[in-house]
Amino acid sequence: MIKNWKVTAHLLSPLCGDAPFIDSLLEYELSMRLGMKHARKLTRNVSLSEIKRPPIPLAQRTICGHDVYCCSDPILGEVKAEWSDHQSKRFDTDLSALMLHPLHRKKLLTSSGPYKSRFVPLRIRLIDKICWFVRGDRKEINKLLKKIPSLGHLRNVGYGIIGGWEYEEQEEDNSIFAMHQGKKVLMKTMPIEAVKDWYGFRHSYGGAFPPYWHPDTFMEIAIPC
Amino acid sequence: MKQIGICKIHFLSEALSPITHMMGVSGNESIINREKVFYDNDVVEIPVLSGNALRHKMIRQPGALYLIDQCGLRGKLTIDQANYMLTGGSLTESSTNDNIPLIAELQEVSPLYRLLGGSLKNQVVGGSLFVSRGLLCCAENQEVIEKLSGDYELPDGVLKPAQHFVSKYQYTRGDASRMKDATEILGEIAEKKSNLMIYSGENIIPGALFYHDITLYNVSPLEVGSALHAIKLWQDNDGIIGGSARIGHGKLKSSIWIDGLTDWFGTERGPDELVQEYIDHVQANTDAFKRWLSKAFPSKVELL
Repeated sequence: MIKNWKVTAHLLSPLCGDAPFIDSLLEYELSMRLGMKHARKLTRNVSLSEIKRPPIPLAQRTICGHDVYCCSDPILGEVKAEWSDHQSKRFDTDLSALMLHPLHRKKLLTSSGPYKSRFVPLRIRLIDKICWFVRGDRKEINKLLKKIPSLGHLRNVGYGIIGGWEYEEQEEDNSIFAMHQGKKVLMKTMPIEAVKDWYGFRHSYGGAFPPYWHPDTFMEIAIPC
Repeated sequence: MKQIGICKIHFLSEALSPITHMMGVSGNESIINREKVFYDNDVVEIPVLSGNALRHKMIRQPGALYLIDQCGLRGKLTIDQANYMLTGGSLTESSTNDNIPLIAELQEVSPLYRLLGGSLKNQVVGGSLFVSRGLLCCAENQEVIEKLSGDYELPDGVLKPAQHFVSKYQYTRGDASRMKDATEILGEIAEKKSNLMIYSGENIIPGALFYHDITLYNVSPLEVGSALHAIKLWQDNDGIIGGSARIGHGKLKSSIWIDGLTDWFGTERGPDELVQEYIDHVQANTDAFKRWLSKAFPSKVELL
């Protein structure tokens, strides 16, 4: 049943990078489960008009000619601490030397080029939860979210582990905007022309719909702040 | 019975020697790797083993070395092949494409690399292995460990503050000019200034426990077998993590328990059977793996 929800992900380890948009998360998870074409391997070269979109269990609204999902941007809990960690990687020449064919035992440049050693800085934040306001079908949303093990960047090395999902029913729909003193405060990244008389955003250029990184979705946008 | 599922392997690893997994130096002293934890209304810094190090030492390195030996690849690899097998490869070509037959062939012949993923020269192949960080079993981490481990109760006596488990080491690097008979061996050089060096740092004391886990996401029995096999090899070689293994540091002895195995594989296949299935698969596919390696990283040197 379609209702207003506050969806909260409780985290058991620090978050690396930024939190994801929940519509992206649901689209990815559903398209993977349905085995849809380009589910995993969508690239910038593939036009979004060529691919079928998965039917995620979120309500949609048409605002100024744009169909948008009823879900807010991620809202982070209190950041208890923030620091930069590093991810390191290097080609282990001492281990590999004798494994290489004699023709391939040569001097290797490790300060640049394909075998460059990496020591990449990562933005890490200690937070205990991330929440999104959505309008949708809780049961179907939970079916998709409950098997996601972690969120954010570098999940494969232990960041952003999810301890559980929580759903709280809301009286008001705060997924796209929230009313504050009679004014509309933006809650979701939207095309700029759709939010002319709204408040609480900054002007930028980028993706307004999932997949947010794809150039086909780029336009003048308003980002909640 | 399902053949694809999620499997979580939990580890409780006891330090058998000082653990020196470091994050940097302060003056002349090496500092143990720490991360911030919110505890008792305050942010405290607690020693931690990075997931990156655990992933490499537990799974990728032992698994890759086993494959190299089974396929007889020592002394035959190119740099790109070794880079892919031992460190995950690098995207080196500017034009990327999805060569689906090549990925499908890899996933068929090598469950280990299906699990780990990696980067071919012109495409990135995703993996399905999620490794947690190694959390020190201490009072500050108790709540998180109990949630991660499915309410596993930590043994009595480990719930002390983290600082209880941190100690210091100090070693001296010898100096040839101070050896017995140095004057006879070195002559005039022995009279010069001494290079005797003292180096020191923090370590986690032997007996400390770490909790960590790995989640295998949407995997088949062969991938679980490949992970368990790599873990067994890692443990057979003292479960080394961190630095200074050359002087006996970094030994971990792990007890493991597995969630989700019997739910979707049935009860007739335990961990030992899964490992044996993986070994049989490797032995039956050595030529196929070498063919794939030659195709993905072409070279004038024939692997077969």
